[in-house]
Amino acid sequence: MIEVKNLVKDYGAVRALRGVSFTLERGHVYGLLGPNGAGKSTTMNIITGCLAATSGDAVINGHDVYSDAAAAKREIGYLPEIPPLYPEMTPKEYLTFVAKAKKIKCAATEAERVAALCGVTDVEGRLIRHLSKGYRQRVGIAAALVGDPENVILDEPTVGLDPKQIIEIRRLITSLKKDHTVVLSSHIMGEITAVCDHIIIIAEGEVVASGTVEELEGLREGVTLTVESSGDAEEVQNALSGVTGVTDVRCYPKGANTLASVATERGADARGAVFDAYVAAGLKIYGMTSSAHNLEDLFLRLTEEAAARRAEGDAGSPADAEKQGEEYKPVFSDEGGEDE
Amino acid sequence: MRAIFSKEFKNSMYTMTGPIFIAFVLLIFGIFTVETNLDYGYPGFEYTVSRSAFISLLALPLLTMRSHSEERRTGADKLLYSLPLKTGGIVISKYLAALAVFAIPTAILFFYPLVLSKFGEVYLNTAWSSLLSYFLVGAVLIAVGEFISSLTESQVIAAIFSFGAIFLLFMVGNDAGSLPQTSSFSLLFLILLSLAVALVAWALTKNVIAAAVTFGVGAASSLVAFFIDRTAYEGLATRWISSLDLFGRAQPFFMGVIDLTAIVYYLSLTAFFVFLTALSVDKRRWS
Repeated sequence: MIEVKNLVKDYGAVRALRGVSFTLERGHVYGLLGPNGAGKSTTMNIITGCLAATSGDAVINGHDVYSDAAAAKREIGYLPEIPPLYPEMTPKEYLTFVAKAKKIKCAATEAERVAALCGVTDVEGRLIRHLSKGYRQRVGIAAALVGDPENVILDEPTVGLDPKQIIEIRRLITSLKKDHTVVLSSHIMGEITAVCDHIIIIAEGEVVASGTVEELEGLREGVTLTVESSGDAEEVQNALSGVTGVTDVRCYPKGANTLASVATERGADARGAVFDAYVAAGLKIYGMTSSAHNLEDLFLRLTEEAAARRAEGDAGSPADAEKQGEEYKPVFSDEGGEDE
Repeated sequence: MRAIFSKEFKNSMYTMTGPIFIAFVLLIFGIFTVETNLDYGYPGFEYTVSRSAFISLLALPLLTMRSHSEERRTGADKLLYSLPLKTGGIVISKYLAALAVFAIPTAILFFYPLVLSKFGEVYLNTAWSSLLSYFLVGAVLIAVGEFISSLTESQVIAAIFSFGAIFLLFMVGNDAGSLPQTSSFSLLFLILLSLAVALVAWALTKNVIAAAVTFGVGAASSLVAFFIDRTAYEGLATRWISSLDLFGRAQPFFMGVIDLTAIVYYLSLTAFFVFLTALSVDKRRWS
């Protein structure tokens, strides 16, 4: 179990984390999703004791990662963004070294176990510097699994792997789910949804959304209708004004016609009402298509909103909420107020 | 700790830096042994040690340059941070591994006087005590090198600065006596010393205010003391600089005397730089 409470991290004058809080339970695969520079790696580095937070707590199975570092770190396996390898060692030597450093009694046996688990047994005698990027990544993952720690933290674990290796690593991560708390980060939505049952979206150093895939899908906007019709932009705007279920209309000229992008409310099917509105206005419809928003769009919207808030002078940030004595809540969190 | 020591020691020996260092030390000592003891037939091996020490110790950055800097550059230091190990243990293990490599040629050199004694009279006690001082000076310089390695991500920069530090410490011993004895020179020295301490403070904390306060307090107290008692400053710089003379403190050993104060001095300096290294490594997590 990993508990993160109000993590704040400053790099000089730059605030990288702004009160990040979440609780991760055993038996789940959690995905930290966010654009580059959002604070995912910083959060992971703090959880694993590689970096000290400016303020806030990280607790691993009841052990504070700073005041009870040794006990906390025994419960953690960590693969940083760049695998921390020694190129002059072979995978076998490297994994045995990690096992010895973790004070595991049968270090060589443990090294063989994790090497087999991650599929690096066939290259265990070659120098790491001669391995492909994919194999290096797998050696890094194997090192994180040495000693079978309860909490496995993987920072972009499938970077550099070929499609077959990605599938294998995803299977491995899924197999760890039962007895472990697995956290992995990525800036690719597909990567996260493929293996994670719970997603935490981080943007601009704060948690902007948190929940299962199904819960996050509930936050999506409605479909967007694209309609090509006769008439000019003003006529189309007038026709669609006041139509139930329509939230926004944007018109673009297309030859003699007008192309309208019609945003609709989530859960509402406004196609019939839009059609009727065009007919009532005497406009001819030459084509209508609808496109649903996916999690990718939600991710983009949330991250853009966070960036906009930041640009407006940090309004609405956890740090501000804290200053004002208010309870900051991400867009969605199944832990509710406990996060804070 | 044993795992880190073993890894570092093997790393030094497998990447050739260890064997090259050992070969270089034995080559330098070999040349001066042939010239001093065999060609001239001089029975004192301590003269060979005296002539070889500085040149052979210049190769010490080979052992220390990549100790911390390379891990920092490649990101492998994150593995050590995430393992249930204490920073002090990591730093001491790395230091002892470098010291163990340095101990190999030193141990071999302990047999040289024995071999020479088969062909004539050799002052064994003097020879061995001089080798002991050589090892102690090397132990301090390794600690200095490890500290410098922890300050940078570039092993080349670490090597250059370690080389410079060894050279500076040697020059200090040779030239301290020729420095001006005036009180104003001592004041200038203390202000420069405050600046150097402030620079180290900045390198460790990256905090400009802390560094500025360090310099301000050091320089201001030096000035106040200067105006209160100017005579106390006469020759002060020379005395302080002489106290840094690593090589000069080894002189009693070359006369067959095991100087305990010198041993305490070397061990204290070593502990001080190992401590600074631990601080330097640990502060990266807080920066």
